[in-house]
Amino acid sequence: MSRLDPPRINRRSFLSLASLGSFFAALGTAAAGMLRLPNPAVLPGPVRRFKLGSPEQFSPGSETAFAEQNLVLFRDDEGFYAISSTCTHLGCAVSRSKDGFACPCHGSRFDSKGSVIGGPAPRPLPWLEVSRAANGDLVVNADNEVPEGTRYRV
Amino acid sequence: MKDPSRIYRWLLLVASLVTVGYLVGAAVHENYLAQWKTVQREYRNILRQKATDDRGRELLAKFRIEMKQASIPALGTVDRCVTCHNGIDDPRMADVEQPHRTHPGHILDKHPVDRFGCTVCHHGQGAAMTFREAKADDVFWDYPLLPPEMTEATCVTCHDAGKLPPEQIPLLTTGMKLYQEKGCGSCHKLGGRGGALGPALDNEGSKTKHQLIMTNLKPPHTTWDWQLAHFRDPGGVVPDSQMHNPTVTQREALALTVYMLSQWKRDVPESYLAPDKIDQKYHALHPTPLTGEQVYQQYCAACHGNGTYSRWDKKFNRFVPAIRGVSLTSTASREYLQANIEQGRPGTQMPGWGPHAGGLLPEEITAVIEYLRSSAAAVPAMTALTLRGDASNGLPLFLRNCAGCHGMNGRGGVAPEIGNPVFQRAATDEFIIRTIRNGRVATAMPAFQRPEAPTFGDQDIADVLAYLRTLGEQRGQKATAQNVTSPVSSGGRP
Repeated sequence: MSRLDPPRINRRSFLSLASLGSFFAALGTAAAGMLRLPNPAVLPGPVRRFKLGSPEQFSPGSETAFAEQNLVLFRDDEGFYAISSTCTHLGCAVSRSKDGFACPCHGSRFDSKGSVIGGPAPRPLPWLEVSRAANGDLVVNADNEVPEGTRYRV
Repeated sequence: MKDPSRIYRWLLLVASLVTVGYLVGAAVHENYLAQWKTVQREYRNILRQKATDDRGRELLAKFRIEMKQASIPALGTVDRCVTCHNGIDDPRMADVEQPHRTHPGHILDKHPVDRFGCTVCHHGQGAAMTFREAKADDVFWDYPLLPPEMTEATCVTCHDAGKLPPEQIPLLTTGMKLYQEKGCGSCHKLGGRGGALGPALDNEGSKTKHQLIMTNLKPPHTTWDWQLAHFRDPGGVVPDSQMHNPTVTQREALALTVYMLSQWKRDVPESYLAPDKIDQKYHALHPTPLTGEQVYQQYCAACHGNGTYSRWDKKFNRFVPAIRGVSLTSTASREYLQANIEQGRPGTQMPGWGPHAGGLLPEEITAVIEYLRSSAAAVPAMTALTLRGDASNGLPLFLRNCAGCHGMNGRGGVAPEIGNPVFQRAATDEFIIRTIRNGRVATAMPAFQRPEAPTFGDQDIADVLAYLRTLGEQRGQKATAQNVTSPVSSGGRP
């Protein structure tokens, strides 16, 4: 890089710096664009936002299992909440037991709020985000987890 | 002294600046100016205006500017239409401009986008991110976006059109009715039933623009434009088409077009089928027989008219026989009619209608024979013709009196082919003799033995009959002109 060393002629060194600078700027912009590639705007999987119908269908104190969507919808005095019925161990569908949920595959047991009370499950069953669609139907977004105890008030 | 590397530095500078400029431009275009982002910003403003209650505020708070899609693995579709049509399930959006407006009707109540997507009904390119590409009416996409009024054609993917409320599928209902009224089944098969002159229409709706002749049509070349134009003027769209002009109004042509678009054996999972569709599939395997009159209207009338007169057919270039004419039905036996209906007339435009050809059920053939014979009058018993005919005497009589219409060798001209093997097998001597004697009322066939001025004596008729009976054999040997001038002189049955 001896050409860039002590500035003999200012104009020339400016040209060199400018050309190199813009070269790296171009490289940087291109790299920034490429870094976005592993993070696609949409994923090819099916939609995991489930419309479950109007809130009036579910009486307070009820629980309704949605087998196809793998979740259980509860309604108590404070509001609605949905718990995923996919076992956090290896993804089997858990079923309702006396004291909560039980997984038929490896014997994981959860209480009625989804916390682990036995078996190999590493995490409690996630609580899913409940909201309402524009037409008033309850919507559960199985991609969004909410902290245990969150209720959705209608 | 000039620095020799100077030019390269300029080159690097210019190239890099062009690259940076292009990349920045592309980034702005993709992240800010994209059509769908503009649309979603507009929609957010609408949401903001309408956020007057709790739920409105909740919807506004949850709204993100992002790509949205309904991915339906069971149907093999990924529909991003909802990226721009954000308000389709929001009843508050009924009065805003497209693309934000609520979906019309209550269709989405039973067909949520999350389960059905959009393209299963509307067609078009679901994965597109601009409206032009979603519409996809160029040459690269097989099923472009259907015009709104034709979308009802796709209801039959999962429903039996006969069981849907007619007011919801007005065009389809009219189209179905017209198909039967116009007797399209006379030439076209649908579900294995129908004639053989035109193509079967079972999968007409699955055809792409590349399968239809578009040379005589103006662009855009869509399949529905082709169907519409073809229903108005078949010969103008397909130059060598044998199809009769069905004489329909523009509205009726539209209804028939929708009916054609609905003819598509699409494979959708059982869980998507409405119960009536499953019933329909069952009934297609176990059909209920039609009445004789229905069979006649749907499968015979398009060529034979009402059947009481013989009709000159311009496309076929011949007379179509009067099959309900009193002189035929009074002379022809059930067996004769049955043989002709089941086996058709090979080599002519009359196809066979038996279970393995036109697909009519045996009960329906019996019923249509009864319908044809409903015009029959009682005929007096025929005086038996005991004379023995001579085919060599019959030939000149045939050439002089019959060949003009029935053709040399009886190969047919403007009148039926009496050398036809099915005719030769099915027609009894008595039937032929009666026909020669009395002619056929309301056709070009005269009576050859009118009491006041008989053309033929009994012996002449016997000779002609003997000659006619040689025609079946001649056709078997590919008769030539020589055969006519030196006919088989033996044979000849009484």
